[in-house]
Amino acid sequence: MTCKDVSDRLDDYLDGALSRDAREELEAHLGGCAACSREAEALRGIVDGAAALAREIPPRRDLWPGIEARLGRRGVFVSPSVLAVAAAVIVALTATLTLVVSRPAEAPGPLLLPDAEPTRVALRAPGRGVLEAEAEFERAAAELLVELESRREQLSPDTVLAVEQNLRDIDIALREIREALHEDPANQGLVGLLGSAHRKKIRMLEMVVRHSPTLS
Amino acid sequence: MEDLPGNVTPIRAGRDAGRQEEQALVSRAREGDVAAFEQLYRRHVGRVHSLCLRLARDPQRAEELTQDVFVRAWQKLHTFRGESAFSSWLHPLTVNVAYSAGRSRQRWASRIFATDDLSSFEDSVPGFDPAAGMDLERALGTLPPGAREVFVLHDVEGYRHEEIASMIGVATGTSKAQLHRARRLLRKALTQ
Repeated sequence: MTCKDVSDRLDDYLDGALSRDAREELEAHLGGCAACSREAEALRGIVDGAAALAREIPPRRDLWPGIEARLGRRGVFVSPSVLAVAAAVIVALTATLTLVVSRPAEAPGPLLLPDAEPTRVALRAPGRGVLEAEAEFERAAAELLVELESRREQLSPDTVLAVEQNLRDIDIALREIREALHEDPANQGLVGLLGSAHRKKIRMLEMVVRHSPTLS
Repeated sequence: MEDLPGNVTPIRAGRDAGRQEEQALVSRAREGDVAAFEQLYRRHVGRVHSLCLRLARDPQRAEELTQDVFVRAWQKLHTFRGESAFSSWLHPLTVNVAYSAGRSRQRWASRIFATDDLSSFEDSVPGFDPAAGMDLERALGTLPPGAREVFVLHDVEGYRHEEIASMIGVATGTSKAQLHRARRLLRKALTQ
């Protein structure tokens, strides 16, 4: 057995994975080769050292309050988290918008007056379903934004900047799609785009909330 | 069967009693008893946290992951059949959460940022003072992610390559190659 052979088989040797013949052959080589013997000894030290490392390292602080807050109230079965609600909203509203897209276009309804948000363009939608679906999407996004705002201090400046930029881009896209729908309310493709933009916004917020530290 | 030495029987009896007590806690937690789940948390948090810390390298991230693990465990409790120790079920779940989180952060970051520059999301490698010497725990933090993950799972936690391959979604040969690399890098780091 050469030194190269030994080097290739040292890991299996240390892990007790060699056959008896291979083990004996390797050990015979180690007995006559100081360099390989030193290598084996050094690696054995690492393997033994790893096995001796502490298996339990308690966290610096009690993490239970943060965990409990995400489970639900004490003694009560877990209630859906903000993230789970957002996911359910996406599924339900995707179905709603899909239904609207697949339904034959109805005569345009009355132009709805803008609500409190001045930048919002009223939709002359194929039906009220789209407007209601949008309202639900925006409610879900607002809940996530509240959650995210509560963790703002824990976010890095880069993350805050990226989130704000992404939100701006998506909101611009939403405004443009709404404006296009105002001109062409029967365009089902635009309705689909509207849903996609809302979903992208919620998923982006969901990801940031999921990966951001809490105040627990 | 020959009787075992007398002091083994009380140990085994104690272990069995502890296991039964834990099974009772799991049953109650599965019914929605948060207090019972808290007791499970207190029993296992040290072990879960140590694994998260060695995989994540960052103490704050490790604490976040530890919380994620227990929240996930709560959500998945109905899948634990109780045929093995609770830790045997909780530990692979820990690996899954920690490993997935590490990969997700990179994918998420690449979507949020227009460029491929993920440097602001990279955890800084723990530095060390050569004058103070390097111990194995600190040397672990200098390993590349793949090598560190396999070394922690194999040499620290005692998983076999086949189990590691299954947990982190790599070939067994890859797991062996990463371990080989990890041990050599550690040897080099500890002898500098």
